[in-house]
Amino acid sequence: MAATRRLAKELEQMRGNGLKSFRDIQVDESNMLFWQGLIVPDSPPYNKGAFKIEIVFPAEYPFKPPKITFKTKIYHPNIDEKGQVCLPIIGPENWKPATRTDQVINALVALVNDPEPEHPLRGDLAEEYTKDRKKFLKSAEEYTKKHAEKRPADL
Amino acid sequence: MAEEMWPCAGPSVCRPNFANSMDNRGPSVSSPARAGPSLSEAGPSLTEDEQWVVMQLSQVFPHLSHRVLRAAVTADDQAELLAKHILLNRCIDSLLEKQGSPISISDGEDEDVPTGDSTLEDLAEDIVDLTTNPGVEVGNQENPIIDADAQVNRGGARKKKVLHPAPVLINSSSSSDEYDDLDDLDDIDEEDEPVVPPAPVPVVQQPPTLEEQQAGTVAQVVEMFPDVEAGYARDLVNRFWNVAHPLNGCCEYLLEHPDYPKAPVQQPAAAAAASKAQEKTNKDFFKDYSTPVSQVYRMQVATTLHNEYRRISVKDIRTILCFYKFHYAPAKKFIQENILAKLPDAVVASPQPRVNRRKSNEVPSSQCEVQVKLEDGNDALHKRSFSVRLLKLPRVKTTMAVHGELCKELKEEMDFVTERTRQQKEEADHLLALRLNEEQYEAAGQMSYAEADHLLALRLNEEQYEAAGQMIECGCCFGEVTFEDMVQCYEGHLFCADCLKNYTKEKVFGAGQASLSCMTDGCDSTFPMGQLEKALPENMLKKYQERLEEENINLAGLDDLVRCPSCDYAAILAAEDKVFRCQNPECMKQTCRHCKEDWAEHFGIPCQDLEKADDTKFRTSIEEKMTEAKIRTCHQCKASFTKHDGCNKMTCRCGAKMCYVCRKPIKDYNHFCRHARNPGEPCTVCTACSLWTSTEEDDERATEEIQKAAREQKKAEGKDRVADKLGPPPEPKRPRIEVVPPPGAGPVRAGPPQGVGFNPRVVVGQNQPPMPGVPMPPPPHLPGNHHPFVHQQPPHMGPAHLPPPPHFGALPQPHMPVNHPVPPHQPHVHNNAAAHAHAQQMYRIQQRREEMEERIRRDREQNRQLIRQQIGNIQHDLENFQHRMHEFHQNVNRQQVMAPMAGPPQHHGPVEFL
Repeated sequence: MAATRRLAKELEQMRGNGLKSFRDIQVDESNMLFWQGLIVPDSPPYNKGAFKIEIVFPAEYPFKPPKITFKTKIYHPNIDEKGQVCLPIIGPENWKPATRTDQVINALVALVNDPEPEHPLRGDLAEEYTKDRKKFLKSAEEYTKKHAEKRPADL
Repeated sequence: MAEEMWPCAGPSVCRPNFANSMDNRGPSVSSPARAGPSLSEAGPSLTEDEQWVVMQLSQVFPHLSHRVLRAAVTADDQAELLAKHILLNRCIDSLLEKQGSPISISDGEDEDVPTGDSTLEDLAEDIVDLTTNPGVEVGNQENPIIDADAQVNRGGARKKKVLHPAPVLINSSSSSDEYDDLDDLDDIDEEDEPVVPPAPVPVVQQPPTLEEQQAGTVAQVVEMFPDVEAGYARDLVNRFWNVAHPLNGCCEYLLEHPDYPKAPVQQPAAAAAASKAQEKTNKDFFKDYSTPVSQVYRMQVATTLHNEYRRISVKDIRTILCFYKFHYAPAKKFIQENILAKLPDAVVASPQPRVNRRKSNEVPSSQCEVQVKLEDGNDALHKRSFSVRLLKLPRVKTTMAVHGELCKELKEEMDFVTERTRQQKEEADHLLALRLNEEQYEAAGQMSYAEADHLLALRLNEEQYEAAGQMIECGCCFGEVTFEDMVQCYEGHLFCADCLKNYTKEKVFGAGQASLSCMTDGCDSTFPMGQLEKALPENMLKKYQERLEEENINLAGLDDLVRCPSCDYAAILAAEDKVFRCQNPECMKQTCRHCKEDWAEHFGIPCQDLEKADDTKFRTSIEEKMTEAKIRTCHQCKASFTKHDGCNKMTCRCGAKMCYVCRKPIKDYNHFCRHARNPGEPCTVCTACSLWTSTEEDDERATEEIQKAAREQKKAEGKDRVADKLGPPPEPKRPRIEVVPPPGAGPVRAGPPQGVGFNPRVVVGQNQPPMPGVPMPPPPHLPGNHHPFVHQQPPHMGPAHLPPPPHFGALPQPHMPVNHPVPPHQPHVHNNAAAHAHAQQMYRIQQRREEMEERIRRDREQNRQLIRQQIGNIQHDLENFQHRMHEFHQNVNRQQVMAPMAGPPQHHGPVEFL
């Protein structure tokens, strides 16, 4: 109950403020606990595409953190092939009920733009990122071209 | 000048008359309507005369501003001033008097007043002439007579006729229209020396008028301060007279010096009369019966009472009346209270048929006799008691001896009594209604008035907050709440009480922690206990405090802390004590602190000698151990837990860290394999525990281990049969075929749930005991099942006796099976089965497996759909409920609290404002 109310408010805010890097937010009115949107990173090699994500809010939101999954394949050391991502801000240990979704999204976009190889979900990618950045960028770009969504027109 | 006199009937005006007229002027002019004009406004300072004139004008023309009046009055020419002065006086007089009576004025007393010829309009015109200057506005007036335009139109024609009151002044020779009339003043002044110069004339006039004004102001002061002494007030007014606002000044002074001499409240005459009338109506006839009554009254009263109470004897009535000095009201009250209350038969409403005398004799005396006591409230000595006996038969009605109406006093009293009884009845009814309403509410389990009022007050408070735009946003739910409804952490972050409740619920009941840190990102301060007490319900608070205690105990790191095996109680036991006596009133067990066995049996026997050889006991203990295999225990605080989600580094609430896989205490991530590797594949470099493993697979592996160990133990002891019974009951008999998924068959399955039963792994072989139908976790997506070191390095499982693990809050890392060492005996089975496997059977079994998977998938889908539906329904219901609650509250507020509810809404429990 409180979850839906807060989520409605947050959605309104997000849509109103127009976060540049999170677009096309789709929420079904009947189920506010399931959001879908498009991440639009800025830095290479991901700046040529957009990535669809799903945010699942638990019923006890905001007292339990949301979970984010990537629906678009992405070549990123901190995002695994299933699309799961480890974001400290929504870890149960660090989660604070007053944290807003836009802060979470910002953290996610920051992570996408700047991978963290010391905390990888994909060790091989992390290794590549650290050892051979050029190769990583190239592979990532190709991968992005191949799998990512199209960026919204105005970007 | 004389020839200039107007052809009017009015007498010529001469000075004395002037003076007379001035004197004759009554207080009508000097009404204290305006207390001191604000003469200190910007503009030319006015002399006293001018001030006075302006004041007069302002009283007459309250709609004209002072500026206007002053402008009108200000004149460079003294003569004009005088003329105006006089003129205005007369005008005002006449105006006032004319307004008073529609008839033209020709009173004897005021000879200066214009005659019947002149009309009020003309007069007004004149005044307008005077007051209208270029630049002077005459605003919209209540006085319809004054018409600026009309004045302009009429212009010259009426000029001559104007201003009869001072014919002596008026002279047709004029330069300007407006001051046409007043130019004569010049002549007057010059000619008539004996004329009192402007200054004295006003002076002569002023003292009385000044006094009058002052008197007026004094009256006003007295009005505001009823207890001020009149003389003092007069002095004050005098003192403040020259100040801009005398009245204000006086009042301020009085307020600042409340020790002014006081006199008893003096009501103005009218008010006094009014209060007297008031007194009369407030008189309590019941109590006050001291006024003497007339003979007529007495007779009437007696007759009335006789007729009203026809079964009370005349003698008794008379006694009562005498006591109350023949006043109707108290007597009646007395009778009502003392006699009728006990003997309702005393009142006979309608004539009753004459009863048979004999019958009436049977009326018991208790019903017709009562002891009464007459008491005077004021005089304790004045009392008498006697007994009143009802007459057997009602008296015949007597007619009123006096013709006509009841006398006035009696009527008054009777009205009073009627009124009072009516009031009393109303009150009683009202109270009864309230009580019934309240009972109704209570019966329906609804809130009482007090609660409803409280809620209403809260709601009103909320509304006021909203109206003022001061609702505070909760940092957590972003709802708008009043300040009263909020709690704050030590740093001052505000949250609504509901949010705190939910937060605590999650933390305390969900995660079992007692650290309620602030909900704001980055703020780690806690909430003061007072705030928690304010916001949390009692049970939650209690639980929170329990958890807090627990944590503190754990943190204290007490070595000698012993826990009762059957409850949560923990205590410090001296090292030499062997018995742990639980002090928990619900438990009170006594156990051995080492082996946790009941002390009653243990007494005298060392721990290991204690008999535990029962098969059942063994089995259950093994089974318990298997359960324990799933449950981990913190090595430090011994709390039990299982992993729900996350990686394998578990941090207990006491702070201790351990590896979920191997159950070893650890300090950080170094315990785990940190090498980069492909997902799903075991590390090629090291053998450390993986950070990410599938929980279920781990558990199953652990279970397997225990079973195996137990079996071997039992085998060693020669009790094979027991081993058969280990674990969950076997699957229904299946052919002794080993089913092995062909390499690369099927999609990767991560940890199939146990007991689904589609994977009967039956060990084939004659000599080996049939294995219980525990499905093995199939090797997941490994392309090849053979990794050399997998065999050599099975995960290190602790001994069968595993310490019970605590529940850790794990990091929400994605569920990643990374390292899958294959259980060692699987290849063993594999080899055996291969020899006997039939391709056809394999295929059939595989098909069956797939079918079952399909079924499972379908069921799962259906369940999910159902759940979704249910959620939708619940949400729908919730909305309805909220809607109805809202309506209900609206109804409560709309209706007066008195009106009973049509039907109480069907809700119980705390009202939740959402």
